[in-house]
Amino acid sequence: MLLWVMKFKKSRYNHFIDLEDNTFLCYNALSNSLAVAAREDYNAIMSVLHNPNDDWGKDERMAKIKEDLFNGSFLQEEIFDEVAFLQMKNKIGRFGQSALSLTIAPTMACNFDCSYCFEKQDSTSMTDETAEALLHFISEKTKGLAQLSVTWFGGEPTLRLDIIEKLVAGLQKIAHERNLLFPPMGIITNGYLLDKTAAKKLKELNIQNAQITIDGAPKIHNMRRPLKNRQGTFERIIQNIIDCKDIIGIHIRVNIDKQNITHIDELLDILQEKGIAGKTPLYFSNVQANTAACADLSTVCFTNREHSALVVNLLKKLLDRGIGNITYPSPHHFGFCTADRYNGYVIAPNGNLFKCWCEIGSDSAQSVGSIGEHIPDALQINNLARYLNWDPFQNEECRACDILPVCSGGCPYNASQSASGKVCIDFRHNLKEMLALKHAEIKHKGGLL
Amino acid sequence: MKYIIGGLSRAALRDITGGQLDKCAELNKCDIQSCIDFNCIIHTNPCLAYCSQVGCRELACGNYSTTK
Repeated sequence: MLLWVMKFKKSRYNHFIDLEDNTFLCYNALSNSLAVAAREDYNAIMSVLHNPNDDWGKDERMAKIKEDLFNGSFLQEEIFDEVAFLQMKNKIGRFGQSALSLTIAPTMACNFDCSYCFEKQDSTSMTDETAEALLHFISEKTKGLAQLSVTWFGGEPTLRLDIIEKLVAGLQKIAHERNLLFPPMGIITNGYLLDKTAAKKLKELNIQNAQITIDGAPKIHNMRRPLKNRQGTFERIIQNIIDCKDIIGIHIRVNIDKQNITHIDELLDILQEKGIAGKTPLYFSNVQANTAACADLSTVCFTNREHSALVVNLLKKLLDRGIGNITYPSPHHFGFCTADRYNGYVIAPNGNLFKCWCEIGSDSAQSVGSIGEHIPDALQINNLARYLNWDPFQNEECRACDILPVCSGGCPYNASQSASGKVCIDFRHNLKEMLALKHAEIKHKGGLL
Repeated sequence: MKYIIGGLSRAALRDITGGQLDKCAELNKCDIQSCIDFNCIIHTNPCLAYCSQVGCRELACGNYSTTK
């Protein structure tokens, strides 16, 4: 059998986590597989990993362990260079010519006045001329590609569903002409205008997922995310989620910082009482003072390490309530996001092209080009080069990191703002706790039978 | 050892074209098809957490499940 003639070594991406119930978890960040094993098997598993080329074939139990470890990529062929393999996939994903990934803001106008908004005040909406130019740009850029992916952003995109509708018609035509895979789209919205009618319209347009932010119980949410006239928004958003959750997929985001962290339990009570919790995925995100528009927030933000620990505690609470949805690592072999990818753009209503969502609300000095015939200026070229030349494989710490396959160097925008040239993802700080929670969730759902 | 999340099979892991994942899309194994391609942006930017909250995990063919 091939397994017995090949030479092996242990993967550099193996993680083992002791659990309280006399078992332990085995996680490999390259394959992203998770296994549970009996404590009594620990020594046997370690023996195979440390001496993979011993003659384990004579012992049926050990032979099975070796096969299991190989199947989950815990064992690799001796000559297989995992880092070189990841580096190659990273290049293919970032600079390959298979897909065009776009985030489009039909308007920068917003009906909210969030206390931590990272965008400067701007009410520009996309004109018909710009929409036409955008479709022409997309048509040209998708020549020879296989896929077009689109996310709607803003401003508040639901303020201009008319523009979205017009653009979607054009995008569908391009996808048809170019024979592109054009998967269901998503939208980032504050949820205030997302009533049943709007949700049905989005579904019609093949926008099938919406992310809505709620920042705590009514009082704190309304303080942080009021309408422009300071009126509260909590009740209406909750009602919209109830009305729309069976029409399109809705995901609730909760932005946390030192000002609302103590109000999350109350929010969970309400979400449970309203029958939303458990049916609508919920996740916690860290408020970051990472643009000029929100720089004064730095004193209320948690550090990444603090945030990582808080997320574990919050998710434990969700699990205790039977809500679940524990975050599991996601493979990032092909780059991190739009920003580090050649064929990815964030498009402002005026046609300016950016690489990161954080920059669209700043000014054109952060842009990397525009959809028109305009030749990029030196500043735009520099901005583009900053993202496309960014390479986690040049950073010794990233290169040696045992979770690199699920991180790919982390957020390129944050990396560009950081003195160390990288900002680690939450899993760098809380992987073991998160995997233990995932295991508990699967166990709770009966997945360990 | 019992696998509770299959992760990427050797074939999917080493498929540098993403073809294995396209096949899942064709088979309608996943209703959030933007996740299927690792070029996915909506679920990774700006928030990595969003991706795993969609619920599209735990499918042996490489992370993505039929249920959400």
